[in-house]
Amino acid sequence: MPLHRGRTSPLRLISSIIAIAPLLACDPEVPTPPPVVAEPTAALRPADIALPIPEAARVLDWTIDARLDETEHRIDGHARLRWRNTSRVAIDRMPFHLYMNAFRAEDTAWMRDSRGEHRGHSARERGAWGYIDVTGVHRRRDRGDGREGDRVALRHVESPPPSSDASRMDVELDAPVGPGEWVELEIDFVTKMPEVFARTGYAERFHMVAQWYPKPGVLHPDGTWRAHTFTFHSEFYADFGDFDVTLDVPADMVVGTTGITTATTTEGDRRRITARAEMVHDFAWAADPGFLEYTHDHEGVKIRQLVLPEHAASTGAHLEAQIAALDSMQPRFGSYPWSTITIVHPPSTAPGAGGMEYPTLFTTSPVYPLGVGLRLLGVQERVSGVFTTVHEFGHQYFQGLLASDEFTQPWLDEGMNTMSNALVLADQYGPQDGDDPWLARLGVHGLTSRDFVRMSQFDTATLQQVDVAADAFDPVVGGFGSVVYRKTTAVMMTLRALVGEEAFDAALGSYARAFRFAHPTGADLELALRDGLGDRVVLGHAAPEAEAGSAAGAQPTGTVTLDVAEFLEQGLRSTRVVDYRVHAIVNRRGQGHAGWHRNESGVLVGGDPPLRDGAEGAPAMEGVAVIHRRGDFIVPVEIEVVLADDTVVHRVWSGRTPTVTLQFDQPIARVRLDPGSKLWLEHRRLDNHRVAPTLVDDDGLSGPLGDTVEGATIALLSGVGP
Amino acid sequence: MNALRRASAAWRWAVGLWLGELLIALVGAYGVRNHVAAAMDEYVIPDDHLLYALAELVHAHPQLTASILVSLVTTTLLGFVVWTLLAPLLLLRLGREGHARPRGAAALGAAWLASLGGAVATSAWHLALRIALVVIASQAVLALPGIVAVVLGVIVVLTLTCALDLSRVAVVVDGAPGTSPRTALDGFTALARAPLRTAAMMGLGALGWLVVLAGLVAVVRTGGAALPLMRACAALATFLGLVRLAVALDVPPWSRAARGPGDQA
Repeated sequence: MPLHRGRTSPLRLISSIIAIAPLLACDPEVPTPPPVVAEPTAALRPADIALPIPEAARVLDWTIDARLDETEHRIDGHARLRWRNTSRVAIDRMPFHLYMNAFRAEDTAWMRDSRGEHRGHSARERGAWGYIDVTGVHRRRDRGDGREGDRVALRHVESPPPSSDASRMDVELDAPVGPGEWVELEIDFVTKMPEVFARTGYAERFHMVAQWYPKPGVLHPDGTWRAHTFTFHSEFYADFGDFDVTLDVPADMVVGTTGITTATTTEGDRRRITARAEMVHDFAWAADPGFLEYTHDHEGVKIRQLVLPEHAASTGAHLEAQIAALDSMQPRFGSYPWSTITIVHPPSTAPGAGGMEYPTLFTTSPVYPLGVGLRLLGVQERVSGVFTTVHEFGHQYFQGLLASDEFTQPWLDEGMNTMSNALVLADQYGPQDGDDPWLARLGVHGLTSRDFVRMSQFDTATLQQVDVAADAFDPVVGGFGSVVYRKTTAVMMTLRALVGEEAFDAALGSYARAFRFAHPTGADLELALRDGLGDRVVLGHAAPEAEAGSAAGAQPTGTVTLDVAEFLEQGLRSTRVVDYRVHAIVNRRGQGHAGWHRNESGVLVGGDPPLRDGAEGAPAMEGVAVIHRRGDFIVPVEIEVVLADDTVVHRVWSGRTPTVTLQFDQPIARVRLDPGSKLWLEHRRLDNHRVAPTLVDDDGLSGPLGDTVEGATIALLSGVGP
Repeated sequence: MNALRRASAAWRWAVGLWLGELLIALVGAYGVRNHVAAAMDEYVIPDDHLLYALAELVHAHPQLTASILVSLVTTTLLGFVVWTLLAPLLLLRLGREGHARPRGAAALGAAWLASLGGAVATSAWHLALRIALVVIASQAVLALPGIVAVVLGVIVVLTLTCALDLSRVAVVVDGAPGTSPRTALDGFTALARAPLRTAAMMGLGALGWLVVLAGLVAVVRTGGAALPLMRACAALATFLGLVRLAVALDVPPWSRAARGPGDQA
């Protein structure tokens, strides 16, 4: 899914600007499609690129024959499924997902959660229901001599307890399937597409056919099944396997599928398209007679865009984003193993289909050309459209290849993918003006990924922990996007900034390579990070400049380390908030020696009056800075202190006490926390930089904002004046 | 050229108007600056991520948005009222080419007070007309494609502005009754009767807006850093506005209710 909608007003503001942009835009020209790149002959790239593919990961082998009735928006399907028992126990029951039944009635689990609303699109505006009806399940007996055996009808139960939701079905096997054994099932089904408002369905002649066939759950080695009820945030989880799919569609339909097209034949007004996909865990397809096809070969990967003329002008931008994503993610997370990637641009009548990932195919969203007015004001953005492409392609890794359980740990794909998207942008654009690349811009001022992530934490960061199942997020409460997508990003990017980019990237890369074509868990990722980074990472000396003259006398001392496990525990399994604050800067008179003191004989001596400040021999002024950990998330923070003589002192504080006091033998001019902006998790940052009361000059905000308001006022006055 | 000469001769008035604008804007923005400064206390934004800092500030102090809006609305309304009051004075000061104009502050003040009621009344009629026409025109204009809508919108508003200028001239210089809606409507017919001067007025008006728009764009793009440029643009726009009024004064009297040229003098 794309970056989830936030509830914060700045994000809404930016979204609004993007939303009104088309109103001010001119109609762009449709570029001529380039010559079509030849279809690859294999679904996987050559072995030296696609490997390693563990044979144990191949659990399914699908052959599906499907016919689309575009008038009824109905698919009649016949599937032959070979499934292998990879557990240690015999299996006599197979649970299946009937995801399309989410759209069957008001009282399904998904509809109960969503009330027919998804990303701003409503079922009520659309009207038609969707469903999948399994009309028969048979087991094909193996005679052992290579010939097909008998067909045995199996009992299948829709809406089995405990959830009793129509998105689930149990198939009772006539005989157990032992460990390592294969079973072959034949399934007949009818799928009625809904009018699309949530990922799958139709709009006029456009059909986005996803979650359209019965999909078995995932059997874990201990013999337990993972087959969740389909709820609003739950998404999907499935095993890897191969697909041979034949689609019978109207002859004028242009079709894009998971995998490669191996054959196309046309008879009368019907066309049969045969597709093959290998080592994928889902199969989706899209069809529309108006699709234009833009193809490009990038290092052996065929990039295919299917787009209607209305959105064709942005295919160049999407291609650039797609290539940038490939070029960033392959070195980081291993080679992209499949030979194709298909980008489907849903028509403007089907925005609900946009922004969803399937193996080797995803739907994107339009790039909104900014109108003259916004461009004149210096508005630029890299959010609409192209970011969706980067994000949805990122899912080819984070869930497509690293096939984690999206229901149990949605952060592992959505969150880690969103983090990787920030890296794609950084790789694509590099530092800009010494900073992260911007995602949106107004004149000379930009908003970076870091800014967007922080903004999303304004309101909803503490509503839920990151590491919880999808259905722990109540749609009424909200926070799924902020927590799962962006807080995960904040956790990981904070860790990356603290421990060093190189070490973090190496550890994450190891994880990505180790769990290709597997079902990693959050524990696997955390272990990989701890293995790669070490349990404790030295971040710096608490007072490295303490011996260097003017900064003498400061606390604390010693080495500050980051406990990686503790950090991840707080970041992923608590709602703690990172919030540091410069509580006070006190420049005061140093402690003098005047007054009465007893000498060695016990006699009071001295009695000199205290010297006036500035007088010869009077105590020098000293500076004290008090830092307060206002949040309950404990993480080391860097402190930058600028003293009155412009000496700059850097410290690292562990944050393990509520406050820390830093003392210097000269006045402090200013104190800044986290000067490198490493703490992506900290969104309250206006109290991170304090100046001494006597040195308060420009706060950096009242000036620019006041000047802008003043300028706007002058413009308005000129408008009503002469 | 006569209009330009007369407007140049009234440069002190242009400077006064400009400074008045700047003062109103300065006072209006003062509240916003103070509000932000109070919210920031002794803190400084930690890095140069100005937009993020602004977003955080607005999130922490949502009333700041209201403060900005109130500032913009009140200063604009104040500017509108001030300009409505000052417009007759400026027209009297510029005078029509070849006609006597009040000499001395007392005569000017007396003539201004005499015409003020009528000028305010015709401005009020124009305001009502402007609201009605803008509502009607916006329905039609917004249905058009982007750039066409913008150009047509500008033409509509410029037409309204120039018609108001001519109605004010009719009231202040030619003695037309400002309370009559006909005087307001005659401003539009006068535009058609003097196409060259109308074109000049609209051109000057458009140029003034363009100058102001350039300043505003610079201010927004730079996050306020281009405020001095905005001020300079406002000075130029004010002067162009004066030239436009001088051109309006040179449009021959047309109103059936007018007493004739020079009657006010």
